[in-house]
Amino acid sequence: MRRLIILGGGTGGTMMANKLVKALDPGFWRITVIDSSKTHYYQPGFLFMPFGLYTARDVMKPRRDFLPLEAELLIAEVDRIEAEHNRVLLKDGSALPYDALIIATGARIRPDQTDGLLDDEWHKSKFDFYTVEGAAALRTALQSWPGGRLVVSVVEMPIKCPVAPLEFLFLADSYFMELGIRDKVYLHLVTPLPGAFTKPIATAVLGDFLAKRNINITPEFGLARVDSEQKKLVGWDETEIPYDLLVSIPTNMGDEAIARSGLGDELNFIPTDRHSLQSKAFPNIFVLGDATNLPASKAGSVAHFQAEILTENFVAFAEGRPMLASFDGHANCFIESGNGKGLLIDFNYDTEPLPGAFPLPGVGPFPLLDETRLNHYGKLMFRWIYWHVLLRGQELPIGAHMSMAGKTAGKAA
Amino acid sequence: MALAVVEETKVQNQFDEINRKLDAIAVEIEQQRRFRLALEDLKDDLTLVSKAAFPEVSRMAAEMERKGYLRLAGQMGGIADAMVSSHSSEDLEQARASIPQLIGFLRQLTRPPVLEALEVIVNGFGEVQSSAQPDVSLRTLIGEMNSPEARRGWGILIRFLRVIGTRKARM
Repeated sequence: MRRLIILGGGTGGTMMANKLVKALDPGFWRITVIDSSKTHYYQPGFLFMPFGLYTARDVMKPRRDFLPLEAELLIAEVDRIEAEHNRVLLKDGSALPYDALIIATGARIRPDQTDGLLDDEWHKSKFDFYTVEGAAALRTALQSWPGGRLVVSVVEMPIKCPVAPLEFLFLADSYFMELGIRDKVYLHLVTPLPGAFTKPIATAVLGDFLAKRNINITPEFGLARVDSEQKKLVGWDETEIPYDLLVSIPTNMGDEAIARSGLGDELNFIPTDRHSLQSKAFPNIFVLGDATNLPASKAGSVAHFQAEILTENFVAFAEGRPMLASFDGHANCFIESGNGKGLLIDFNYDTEPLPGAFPLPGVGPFPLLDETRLNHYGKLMFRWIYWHVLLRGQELPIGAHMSMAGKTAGKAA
Repeated sequence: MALAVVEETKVQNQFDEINRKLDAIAVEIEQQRRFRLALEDLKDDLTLVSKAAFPEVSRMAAEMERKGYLRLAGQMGGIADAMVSSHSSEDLEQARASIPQLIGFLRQLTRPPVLEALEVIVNGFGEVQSSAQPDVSLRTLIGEMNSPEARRGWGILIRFLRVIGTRKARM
């Protein structure tokens, strides 16, 4: 009997367990999933919590409910991976040997990495919405906030779901409008990027959305520290940006266990082959989702497309065949634009988000890079698809590789 | 002694079989529970979407009602029924086969020069109806036929007849 260990029972790890249970010979492979928490969070839902659209209850479920019955779930803290000895060491001192390892340990926010961010004011006047605690605290704060300067600050890239800060601002705009205090709120995005997003066409479209909603942007801002007393952001060039309420997207980093194992880069992301998803250092280690160092979005859709590719490659690896499936960087995200509308973007390593229709050319029903109510409904329905289709490893009619069909402009330079 | 071992093995086998069946039942129960959870979640999310969509759908329905789309939609059944009951299936099949030709005809009809000509004819007819004198003498009529406007009209009419005649001869 050979043992496959999957580190992390989040989006990528759960999908891989469900897919591989069906794809591998159960008499030959034993699958163990290790995670430190019994709860699985629907992370895209955190965005809705500060505005009262979801509560904490709406975004969390027992992890065990979404893993296959045939796979073992071990709730334990990983100390480190001893890749040379093919074993995982747990913090309780036990060692688990493996024949193959899939790392899906994700990324998390690290407010401790920015001077002055994580202090007594954290979750009082400075918040995040990338954790259930942060989103809940921000909800409480917004309910009694009289208005002022609301600054959304992206500390550095890469971050999970790069459109989330924009979505937060769009939702904030319509939220304060509904409350009747929009004129008392100054919305401001502070980002290290040269514009609203990472790719030119989407940056132009989304930048226009910000301008139309009277949301200000300070691009190319390198945050050095946060001055909690004076309530201001201070840049490396000593530029200062005042705030009354700070919504921070702190530095995103991979799991500390990756650093302890010596497998990661300076942000604890694991050097991974961009096409096969095999670790660059060890042939029996594979990586997917936010844990990789790949230049793809850190988003659930990416983990989903990667899971399809990795399943094919892992089965080939297990059978001693060459791994032919190739990940193309495919990402697909609904973007909330407020007022009950949304956009959809679809792109990969080489092709930036383009206008058009998705998934059927001309028919859609979801328009690309265009604001519609249908896209908002798509985002709302995505929660069910996430829990009961994606996590369970069910096939979707959307291919793992991005298609140019339905897109109305050529490839970006 | 040997008999006792055989009996014990038999009992053990029975226990194993019972355990196997209990495991299968437990798996089935768990799968049913997960299925029920999926349905409950689906109900929750559909409720959320329908709540979000209701004001917009309601506004669209009111607009469609105001513009008469809903009345038209209500009549569509009657129109389809009239078509089906007053034409044979062969007629309808022929009509379906003629659709490309009809669309081609419509395309020709909506070309700017054709539309302009139709406009001239319709307006001209309207003008004639409002300004023509019912009693005209033969002499006046011959005189009018010789006017530059009437001669231009005769020219167009004769050219039109020639084009039709030529096309008919080609068919």
